[in-house]
Amino acid sequence: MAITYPKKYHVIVVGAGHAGCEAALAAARMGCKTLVLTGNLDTIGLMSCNPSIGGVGKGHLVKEIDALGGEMGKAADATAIQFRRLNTRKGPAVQATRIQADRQAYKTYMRKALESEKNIDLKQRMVEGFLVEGGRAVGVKTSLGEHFLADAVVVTPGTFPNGLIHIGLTQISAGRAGEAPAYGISESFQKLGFRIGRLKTGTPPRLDGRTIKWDILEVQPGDPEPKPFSFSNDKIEREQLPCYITYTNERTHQIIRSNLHKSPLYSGIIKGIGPRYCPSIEDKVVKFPDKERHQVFLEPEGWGTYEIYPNGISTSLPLDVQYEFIRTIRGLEEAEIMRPGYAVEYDFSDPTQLKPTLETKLIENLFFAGQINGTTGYEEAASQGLIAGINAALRVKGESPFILDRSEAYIGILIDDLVTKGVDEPYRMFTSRAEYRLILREDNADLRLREKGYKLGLVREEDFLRFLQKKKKIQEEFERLEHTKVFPDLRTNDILIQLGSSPLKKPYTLKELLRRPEITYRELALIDPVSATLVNTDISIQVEMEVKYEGYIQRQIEQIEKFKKLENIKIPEGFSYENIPGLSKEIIQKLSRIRPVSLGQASRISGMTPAALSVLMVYLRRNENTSEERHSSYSSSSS
Amino acid sequence: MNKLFVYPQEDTIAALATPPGEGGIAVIRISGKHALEALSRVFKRATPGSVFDMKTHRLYRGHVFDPESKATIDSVLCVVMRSPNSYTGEDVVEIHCHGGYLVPKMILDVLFKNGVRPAQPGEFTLRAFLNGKMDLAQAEAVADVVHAQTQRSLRQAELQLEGMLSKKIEGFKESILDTLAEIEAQVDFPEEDIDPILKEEISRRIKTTLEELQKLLSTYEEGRIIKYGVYTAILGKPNVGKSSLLNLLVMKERAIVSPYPGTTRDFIEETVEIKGIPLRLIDTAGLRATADDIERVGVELAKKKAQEAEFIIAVIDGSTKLDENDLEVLEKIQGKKSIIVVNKLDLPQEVSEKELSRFVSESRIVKTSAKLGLGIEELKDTILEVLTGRENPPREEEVIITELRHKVAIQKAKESLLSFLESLERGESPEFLAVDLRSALDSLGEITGETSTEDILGRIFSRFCIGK
Repeated sequence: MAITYPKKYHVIVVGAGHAGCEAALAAARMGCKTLVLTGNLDTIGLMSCNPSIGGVGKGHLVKEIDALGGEMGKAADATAIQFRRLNTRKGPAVQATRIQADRQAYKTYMRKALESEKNIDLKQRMVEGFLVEGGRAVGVKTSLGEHFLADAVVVTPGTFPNGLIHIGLTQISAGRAGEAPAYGISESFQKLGFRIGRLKTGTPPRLDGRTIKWDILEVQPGDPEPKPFSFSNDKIEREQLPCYITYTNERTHQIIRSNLHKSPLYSGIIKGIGPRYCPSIEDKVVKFPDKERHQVFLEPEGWGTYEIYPNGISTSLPLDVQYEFIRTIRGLEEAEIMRPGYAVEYDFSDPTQLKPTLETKLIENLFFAGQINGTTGYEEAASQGLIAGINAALRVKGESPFILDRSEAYIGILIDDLVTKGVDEPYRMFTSRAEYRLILREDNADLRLREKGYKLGLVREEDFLRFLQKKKKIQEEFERLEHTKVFPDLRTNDILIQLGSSPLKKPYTLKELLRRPEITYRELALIDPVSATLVNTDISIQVEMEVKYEGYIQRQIEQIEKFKKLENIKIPEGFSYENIPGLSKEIIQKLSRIRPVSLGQASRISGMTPAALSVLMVYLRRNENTSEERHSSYSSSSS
Repeated sequence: MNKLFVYPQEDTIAALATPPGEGGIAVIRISGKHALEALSRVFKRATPGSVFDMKTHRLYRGHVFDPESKATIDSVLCVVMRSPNSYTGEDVVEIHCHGGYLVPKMILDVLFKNGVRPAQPGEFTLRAFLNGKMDLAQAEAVADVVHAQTQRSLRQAELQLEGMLSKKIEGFKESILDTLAEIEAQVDFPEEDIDPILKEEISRRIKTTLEELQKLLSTYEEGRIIKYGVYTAILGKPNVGKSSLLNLLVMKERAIVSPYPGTTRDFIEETVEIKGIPLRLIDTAGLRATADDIERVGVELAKKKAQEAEFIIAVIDGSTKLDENDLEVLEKIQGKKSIIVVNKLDLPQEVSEKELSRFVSESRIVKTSAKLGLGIEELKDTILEVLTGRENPPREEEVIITELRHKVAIQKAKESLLSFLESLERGESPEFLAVDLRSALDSLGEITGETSTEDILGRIFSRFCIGK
């Protein structure tokens, strides 16, 4: 007999990985009584793969999560053993933050963050199924036969649904090495009518740092002046641990090639599709036979251990082959493997079955986030968790949903891609996915999103005040640059000539000077004492970008305006595409399946034609014709 | 990017509202919220006052000029129909200019340089519906019109032409995509073992693409000629054999041929294909001073036709000395694409090529005898060469562009690539270089379909081993 737990929750979050943690924290901070159910309380916020957070594109996501009031950036700052800014020689839009985290410290931090929220209850249970009444999720069932009831359910099971680990031709049912998989979740979704597919990912063997010859390897230290992830932190003062780089060689590749028949990838056992940008070493050797070596980054797992994560050699070859090829690598000749590398196959649900709020279209009040939606990466998971948690809370409160569009945030791009296009391989963020890349920067994530996070109730008062001050200072600096004149005196022109810039013939504003390619705040500082105090600050970064790249930014703003026009043409829920003359059967099918919320989203469905969109627009406007408001909208557009 | 969606509503659009080439008057329609602004940049009223003061639904006389060169293009009548009382419901401007091919084309070109884009087929109607100017039944028709777009393109000849063009454009896109993938890889994968981009190599590759785009652009003139024909006037004083020549070219008795001067009093139009090029031939009344009222009307008309024509075949009688009527004809061809036909080769010749060479170069002078059918082949070759610059008709498989829309898209792609080269030269960071390459792909995508992020990523992962 089922036991129904007496306490009723607003939101239940199933799973406590990176998606689950953000979802639970968001819902709880928005005032919802939240229950977190995890198969193992000791693995809350566990980094299952590489011990690092951020990178190009991913760092952008973390900054956005932070700006909205999420936890990941703060956790990363608190537990990082190394900070690195990437792309520092390129423009601000593609510069990104990445940290190496102390794996243990990170999960301890996250568990404490959850436990610090009075609205969160934490319980160790395996969820096996879902309670659905009248097409609406009302709770979950556990493997012990308990029922937990809630107004909304967020599901974040990671690689656990029917997880199957491969090491060589050996298979172990597991969600993660040493942890039982989750049975029942996929099946119960399938029963509810969800389309479930299979994906694959992999992880490298972990090495014992005491057996690595560090002194002969190339060192990769952290940045001398680490920059924090979180907008709430000013600076980081901490000793950092270095990473090291080594390379595979022809012998390594030889061993891998001659053992391919023992690889579950190449013997046809693995059916799931793996990510192209995170291939196993087997894949690299096979697909790029001409490449003489592949990089291996040796990343420490934390302060409290010698365990090393060798990034770049994820593998599912048998353990003896793992030993053999690893020991051909310079510095690893005597390396001991502490944990074997493996590939894992797991179930995912086709994300086009979701609305942009991450609520499922099939079952109301049921939200999916993280790897179950076909993504990979902690940052991608956390982003979805945050959005699912926010929307679950808004649903409970009866408020309108929170959706970011492609021009507002990488989070918006991530979710729009998932729910509009679906996935063929585990989805990862890249900046090349962003149409408005020059606008969506790490440095302005707060300017883009802080206010939204504050309105949702996720950004603390003190953080918001801090943000308002920064915003004001930026505005003031813009005005100062526009109104401060530099006169063509001898000293100024001397400095300019020395900088390889042409001397002034008439007075220039500081803004005009800053526009010159060879002049940054650093150079301006030589001429203007106030600028000197701003070099390399949050203020000057914003101002410099806007001034120097005004033309490019203006172009992107114009593109965004065009983009918004289509986004703003909404398609009513339940709009019927049948019987629209001029639409092909195939297009009708696609539209009926994806059910786009706007004409903009419809335009991004693969296989959409301009003619079909025009027809659709005509019909949408015709629907609008019957409503009162269209008259006012037309007269305003034509005046 | 939403390049798929070809109907951005906020743009101001323009197109020829009358059939191309035909008629004495052509109407150009402009619609959109910047219609008046665009007009104000290119139109000067004959009476004092600005364009913005023009009353709705009233005709105003004035002239259209090119704001760049300040040169007048044509005397026109303009009418402004202010929103919402217009066909589309937006501000609509109609420019009534002289017909023919050249004048409307020049006016459209100057509009396209001043904030207006070419209208897509059916777009005025679509806007009319969207702005509530049509009822539901008409709306159905609009959907059909839009849909018909795809059906019409099923027409065999066009399909073939477009298929070849698409192939060519896809080739350009491939090469741009290759470069973009290299650049994007630098941005997204800074820690991978990827060689830095080679400026010279990339610059060379893009320059090659640019040259080919330019080559394709230069076929537009010919493509347009092949598609719409060349509006051609045959000019000459009476009885030099204009009508006989026309008949020989057309190969049927059409114009009334008689030995009496002034027989052709109005004008006669025939379309004739010469070496693959459709000539829309207008045989005109002979130009001469005359007291006959009816003939004078014909002469005036002929003069006007000469003005509108894109190409003039001036005919003189080689057996008599040049007189003032001949000279008037020869003056008319100055500054136009033209050739001189010296007819009546069968009679003793009184006119030398030297006399004529001050009007056109010698290669554009052809001697014929319409009576004996001599020199007709030579005449046809010369026409081909003058109109297309080539000695042989275009080969079947050669790609040419015929649509203004395609020309505009290729032009935009070309500008993006030029801007890319400048940025590359300046040493801009790769994410800025990517902006121009993406715009170029988007512009070309307007012809063949958009390039998706997946295409870019696919290219990166197949070329570079990514996998930290």
